[in-house]
Amino acid sequence: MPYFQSAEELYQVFEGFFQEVKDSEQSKAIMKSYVKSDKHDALVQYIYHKPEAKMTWVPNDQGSIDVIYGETDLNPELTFEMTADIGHKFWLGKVDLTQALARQQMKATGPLSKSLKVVPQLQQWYPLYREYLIKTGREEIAV
Amino acid sequence: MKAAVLKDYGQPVTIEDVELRPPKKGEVLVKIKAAGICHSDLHVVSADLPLPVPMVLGHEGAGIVEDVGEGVTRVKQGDHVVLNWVPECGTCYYCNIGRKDMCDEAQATAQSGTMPDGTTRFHLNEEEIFQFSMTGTFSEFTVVPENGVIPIRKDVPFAQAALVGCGVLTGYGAVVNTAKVKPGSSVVIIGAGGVGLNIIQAAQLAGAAKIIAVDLSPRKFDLAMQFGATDTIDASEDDVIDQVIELTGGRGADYAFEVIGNPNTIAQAYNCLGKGGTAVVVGIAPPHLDVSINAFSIPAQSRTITGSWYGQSNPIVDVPKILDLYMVNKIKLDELISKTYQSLDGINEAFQDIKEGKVARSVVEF
Ligand SMILES: NC(=O)c1ccc[n+]([C@@H]2O[C@H](COP(=O)([O-])OP(=O)(O)OC[C@H]3O[C@@H](n4cnc5c(N)ncnc54)[C@H](O)[C@@H]3O)[C@@H](O)[C@H]2O)c1
Ligand SMILES: [Zn+2]
Ligand SMILES: [Zn+2]
Repeated sequence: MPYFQSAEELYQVFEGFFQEVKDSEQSKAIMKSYVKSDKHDALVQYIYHKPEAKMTWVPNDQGSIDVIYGETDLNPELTFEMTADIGHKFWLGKVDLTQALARQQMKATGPLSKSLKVVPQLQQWYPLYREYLIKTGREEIAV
Repeated sequence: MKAAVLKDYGQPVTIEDVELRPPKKGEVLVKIKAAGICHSDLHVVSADLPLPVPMVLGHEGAGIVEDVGEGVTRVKQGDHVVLNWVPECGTCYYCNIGRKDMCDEAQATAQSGTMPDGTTRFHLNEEEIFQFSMTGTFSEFTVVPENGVIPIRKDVPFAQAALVGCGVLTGYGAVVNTAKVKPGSSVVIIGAGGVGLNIIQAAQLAGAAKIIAVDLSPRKFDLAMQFGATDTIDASEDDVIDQVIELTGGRGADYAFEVIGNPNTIAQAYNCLGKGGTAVVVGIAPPHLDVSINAFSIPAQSRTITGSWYGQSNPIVDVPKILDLYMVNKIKLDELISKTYQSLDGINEAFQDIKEGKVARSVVEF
């Protein structure tokens, strides 16, 4: 059974989580490591399947990130496509990115040079995601 | 003489009173006693396997030699035989290097639907009727090339022997000849149907420690376990790759077999592998489709993807060997037979059962 039964459930968890971390030092560091592209108006889009969901990160004026949940016309520079289950495991730090790409559990588009800078920064969020799940009573999926 | 003829793609087969012309030089007339129904027959109906129509389908069969043409030495009247749908020419480059499964002549003739001399033995109202890969087992009698008959021991029932002519040999050979599965290894089988079950049992015979059967149809799981699977994954419920990784201690499998013929599951077989692993594609996908796999992983993880045609076998040696293994209870054949029909009329129902994933194999007995 998938960890999230619907896009609404998934958005609820991630919205709460991002709300908590978006102004953190970690997310400021992510934005610092990202050189904005003229051709794109969003940094990264996570495309999830089972359930179908989309989360798009847009840099804001405060040097932090806004997240759009669901469909958007914005044009992201990077995309990461995966099942919501793999996405969940990714934020728990349980997915080896090279392996996931090699097995097509995750598909990435956009310049690898940028992913290489952004992705290692995300690691700092992994413990925060776990903590957030536990704090909000979702410990059953925090393992 | 009755035969089941596919008159046009997408249509049911119809039972026709066909004319069968006598065996020419180097050909053998066989009275069919049993014919198995393979998914490849259905691929011809759906035009996913591009062969000409009208055609007598069926390529999995066993019977008795009724007559032989001039110069035939391999068999004589009364011999029991299994039919071989890749009757090698014996002289082309691939035959010379010991790869009868890749025989140029056999492949070209199979595509034309005729006998090696370019003519057909089956006729209906003077019209030529093609035959599936020089076999055409959905018929009371057939004429095949001399290399298309494999003499067998007489103590094996025909229905069981028939299955060795395609499903069993293909599955057994994919494990033994193509992958050369080593003892202690982990094996994934995607598609536990008539052929996949034979991969499962051959993997067990080869000493595989972990045998993971993947299917969409949960009714296949009991059979898979009976044939030697240690674990099953319901692909309609679970993430196959994730489950395989978990079942193989995080590494991925040493071998994965795709036994459906679908680009997505072919990629899935490759994606189930650990480093240095080998994926063997047995399923036949329509000829216009492509598969996408991760490029970096090919060198960086040293994974192999290959295919297996008719078990990469040498039928004259491998068919009797498999029947010997059956007679000492090391290969299961009885359990493969889910349904038997006493007439060719059952074939359309058997096709429907295959589509619905209901059967391991159905067999027509004559
Ligand atoms: N390479 C060869 O020489 C050779 C020889 C014989 C058959 N074949 C091919 O092998 C394939 C299998 O033949 P068969 O007679 O065993 O067919 P089958 O219909 O008996 O078995 C196929 C199995 O795959 C399962 N399946 C279908 N889609 C699936 C999915 N997405 N995920 C998991 N399981 C799925 C079905 O439920 C079924 O159990 C066919 O393509 C056939 O043409 C190849
Ligand atoms: Zn077959
Ligand atoms: Zn040849």
